[in-house]
Amino acid sequence: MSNDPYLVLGVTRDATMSEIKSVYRGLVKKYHPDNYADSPLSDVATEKMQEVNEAYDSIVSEKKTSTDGSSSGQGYGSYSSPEYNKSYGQSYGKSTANSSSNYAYIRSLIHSNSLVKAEDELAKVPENIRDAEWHFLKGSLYFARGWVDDATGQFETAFKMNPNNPEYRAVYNRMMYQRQGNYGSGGYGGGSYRGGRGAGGCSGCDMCSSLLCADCCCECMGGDLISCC
Amino acid sequence: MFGYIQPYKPDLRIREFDIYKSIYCGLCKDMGRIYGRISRFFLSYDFTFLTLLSISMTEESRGFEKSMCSFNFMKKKTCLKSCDDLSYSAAVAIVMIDYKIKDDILDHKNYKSYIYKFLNIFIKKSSKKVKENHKFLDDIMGKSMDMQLYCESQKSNSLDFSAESTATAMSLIMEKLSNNISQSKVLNRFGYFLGKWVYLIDAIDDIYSDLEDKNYNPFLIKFDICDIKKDRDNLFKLFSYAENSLNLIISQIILSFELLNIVRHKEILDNIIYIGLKNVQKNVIKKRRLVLDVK
Repeated sequence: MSNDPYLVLGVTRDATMSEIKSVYRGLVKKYHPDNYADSPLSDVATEKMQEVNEAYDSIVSEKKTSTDGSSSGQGYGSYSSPEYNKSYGQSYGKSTANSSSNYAYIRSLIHSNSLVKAEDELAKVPENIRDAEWHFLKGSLYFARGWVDDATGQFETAFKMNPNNPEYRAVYNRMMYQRQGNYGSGGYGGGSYRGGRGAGGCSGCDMCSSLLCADCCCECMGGDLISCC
Repeated sequence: MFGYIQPYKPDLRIREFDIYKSIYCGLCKDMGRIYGRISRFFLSYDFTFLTLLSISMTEESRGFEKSMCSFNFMKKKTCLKSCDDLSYSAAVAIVMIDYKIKDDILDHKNYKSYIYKFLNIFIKKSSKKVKENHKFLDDIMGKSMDMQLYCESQKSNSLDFSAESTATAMSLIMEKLSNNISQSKVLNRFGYFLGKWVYLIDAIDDIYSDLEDKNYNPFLIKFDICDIKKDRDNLFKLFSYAENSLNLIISQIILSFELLNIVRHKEILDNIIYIGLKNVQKNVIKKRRLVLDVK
């Protein structure tokens, strides 16, 4: 890919700062790590996010130097992924703290995409002591492999066994949200076709001019739509 | 199995539709040129999509040209110029249809198997040519077919397990579209879910014929269905479950698609991925569900 920041964001050189901002926000939503949690593509998404951040930062600084003193770009710092990842990691650490250390090991295996080994380790756990965490990890394993339907079943079991765990609830909700035909993880919507064409495309001006047009047509045919003009 | 990956035409711009059509025509021409006249009849939307994706990811633009159409001698049509993307898609088309016909011969025991055996005669020569030029494609599909037979013999009720062979085959075919390692990885996952979706939507489409012929269908086993009239309620449950599962797969297709570096024709691809797939899915499920309302 090219390194031109405008091409990376997909905006023209004469775009205003607010246009750039809204495109940037859309891209951040698109490549948000929540969308790619447990997916082997999470590293590609992180790379993309970094690319977008760098492009945005360089455009902001470029615009700042060209229109010195203007307020554009201020008050909206670029999306800082390292900070996010830190808190993300912490929440993961917390939820595994009280379960056996073996689960933490299996979790790390799944995250490093060593799926065969993770499956072996999970199979070693005797059936009578398989708890919510076991089912959750089995679900994560299935998901990473792409077995999303079987993963849903495991996530559901984990959630039903321990509905108070925020992590199980979040993942289960994300699955249900996507099963209903939505993209992304709820809150972080993925892209949409032509940015949801049709919605918000009709301004007050459009309506007036359409009405005038319709009136002219009517008058051509001998009728009248708006009697005063 | 074929023709599910297509755009939602009412929402395509005319110039987008023209490009889509010229890729279709270009593929038809190239298939005829490389694999003989008859192979053109095996062309479908899925392979047009494969070509479209392939040319959308290459930096240099492929040209278009006006050329005579074999099916309509009076008219000259705009076609994509012959290129590597086209010959790859043509080879994929031939090899997939070859294995599809082989699978159908095994699936149908009555008179229908003779129809497929008859079709097999036509594809034989073309598939031999693919084996010479694109050996790995034949290996992929050969392995996929063995795996499919194994999955069917297991009579598993897991949708993921049953779709694994098609999904894996598609992931391996797709990942070849890019030389970049990280893009190839994204294409692999994209192809995986697209293959899974195609297999499962085909399973829904064939649900009544599979029930009649007592063929393997993961949905029928999952919902324990033996008879249309007796298990009517379960069939309703089956369709709504299928719709949710397919939705989940489409959302994964979209997530992988969004990481691809698309250089051109993005709007046509967006149309297919964001609304085309869902439209096909809606129509297939609706058509099958209507049968229940009549009974």
